[in-house]
Amino acid sequence: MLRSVKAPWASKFSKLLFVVALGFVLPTGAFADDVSNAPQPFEFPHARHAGKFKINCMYCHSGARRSKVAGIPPVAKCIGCHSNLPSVRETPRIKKLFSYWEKKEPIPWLKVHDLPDFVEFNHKRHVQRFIFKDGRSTQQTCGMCHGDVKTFSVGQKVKPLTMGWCLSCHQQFQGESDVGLPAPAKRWMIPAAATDKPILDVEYPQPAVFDAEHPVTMKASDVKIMTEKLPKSLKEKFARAPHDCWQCHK
Amino acid sequence: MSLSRMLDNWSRLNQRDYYKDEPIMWGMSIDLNKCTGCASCVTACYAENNIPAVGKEKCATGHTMHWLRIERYWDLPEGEADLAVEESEYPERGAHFAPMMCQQCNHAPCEPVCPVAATYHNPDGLNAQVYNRCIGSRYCGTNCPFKVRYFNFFDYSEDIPHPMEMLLNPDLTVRSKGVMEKCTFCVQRLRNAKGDQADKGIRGHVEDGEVQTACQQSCPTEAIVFGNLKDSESKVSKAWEDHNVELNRHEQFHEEGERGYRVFEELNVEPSVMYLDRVRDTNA
Repeated sequence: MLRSVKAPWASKFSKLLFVVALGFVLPTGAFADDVSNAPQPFEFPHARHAGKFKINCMYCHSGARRSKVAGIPPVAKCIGCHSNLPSVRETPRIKKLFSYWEKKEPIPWLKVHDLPDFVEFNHKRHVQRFIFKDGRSTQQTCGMCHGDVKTFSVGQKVKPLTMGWCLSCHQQFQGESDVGLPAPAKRWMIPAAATDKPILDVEYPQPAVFDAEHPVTMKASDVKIMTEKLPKSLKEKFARAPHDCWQCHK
Repeated sequence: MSLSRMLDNWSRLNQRDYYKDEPIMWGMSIDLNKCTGCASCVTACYAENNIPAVGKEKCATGHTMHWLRIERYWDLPEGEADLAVEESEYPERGAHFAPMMCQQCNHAPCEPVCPVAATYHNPDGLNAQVYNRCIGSRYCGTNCPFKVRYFNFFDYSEDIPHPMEMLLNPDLTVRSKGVMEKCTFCVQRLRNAKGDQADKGIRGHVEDGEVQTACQQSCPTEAIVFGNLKDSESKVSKAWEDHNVELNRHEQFHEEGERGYRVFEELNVEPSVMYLDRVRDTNA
């Protein structure tokens, strides 16, 4: 009798325990469509290209400055240099590269930084702004979202690339015209709406890897202190928060 | 909901110049005199916005899907009853067409009824629809007086045979089942135009004619004019001015030669699309 009373409670407790445990496991583990740790056709050593030889990111990802997508270089771009580099011609990775070239096939790279289809990230806007207008270094600018690529031996996702993470930058760095106005979500809430609750209640999650060189990874409070100290002319230089959902979701 | 919040919302609803400081308000003017009903705008809209062609059968069962439709009206000779028309030598006066898309109402009835705020008004005067937030309650479609919101009853994108998905426009989402969708005034083009201006260091101004909607671009008679209503030099605001059509007025006062009107003005929904009435010879 006692057992039959106890059993449902125990199963409830174990279920609860399972859910709680899952809650701890899920955030640290990858999402189902996350391929950041999946095996690539062969390793591309960013550490060598961007780190040792200091090739500009935009030499290969040439779409970044003029289109929404940064682009993966065609095999021809790899061959363009590597046909003149006989010293590494016989290494296994380069052999594999040339096998694709001879087969006239594209290399089936896996997309590591893959956003959901309903999200639009515009590389051009960020590159034009930070590299060409503000004159920051390419590796620092790209590193805001892609991490310290020059140390990677294989492509990996180190920043969470979630909406809250985007906003951790965008809501903090508001342009001069936005100072003193309510937060964008609150401001553009529909006038006739039944509720006045801000749609985006973001907790500014910190990126997965702390990286002292890149400002994104600063604590939100530190960033605020930093921007408040700036003179008015410099505040203009910081990014504006997106005004409405349609900026990224359409 | 507290009383204060309710009162606050009420005062905001009555605040007609809520967006008065914004530099851009997209608007449209459609001249029905020029419209020949060729439906090239409809085709362009399908191509630009990844709209599935659902086919006759689905249309018959109420699963229609087209952001822009051509409405057809038949003009009868003055004073003649419907029955007499069939017997007369010239049965009708020809059709008269009206392209009907989302009117981007400033007081949109679809917005307050959305339970998840997936539809809201954006600072550019557009009535936005966020697909990833939409839960498919279809309240907005029910509340729309123009019936220009369309619901995805099926996953149409799954029916696309393999190489054809390459035709889809990458600039906007391919909508899935259970999501409401509607005309966006080609927001992807507007955003790109604004982004290009921002790269040049210009904010809040897009040169007139720099951005076109797909329907406007394809219109062979240039019946559709699109632009920024806040820019007094733009073609569209001149058209509004020429025909004495103003926002915040639920009935337009016409003088000789002025043909402008907005659909369902009496509902006080403040559409951003102005139509120019077709001139008809009612005496012949």
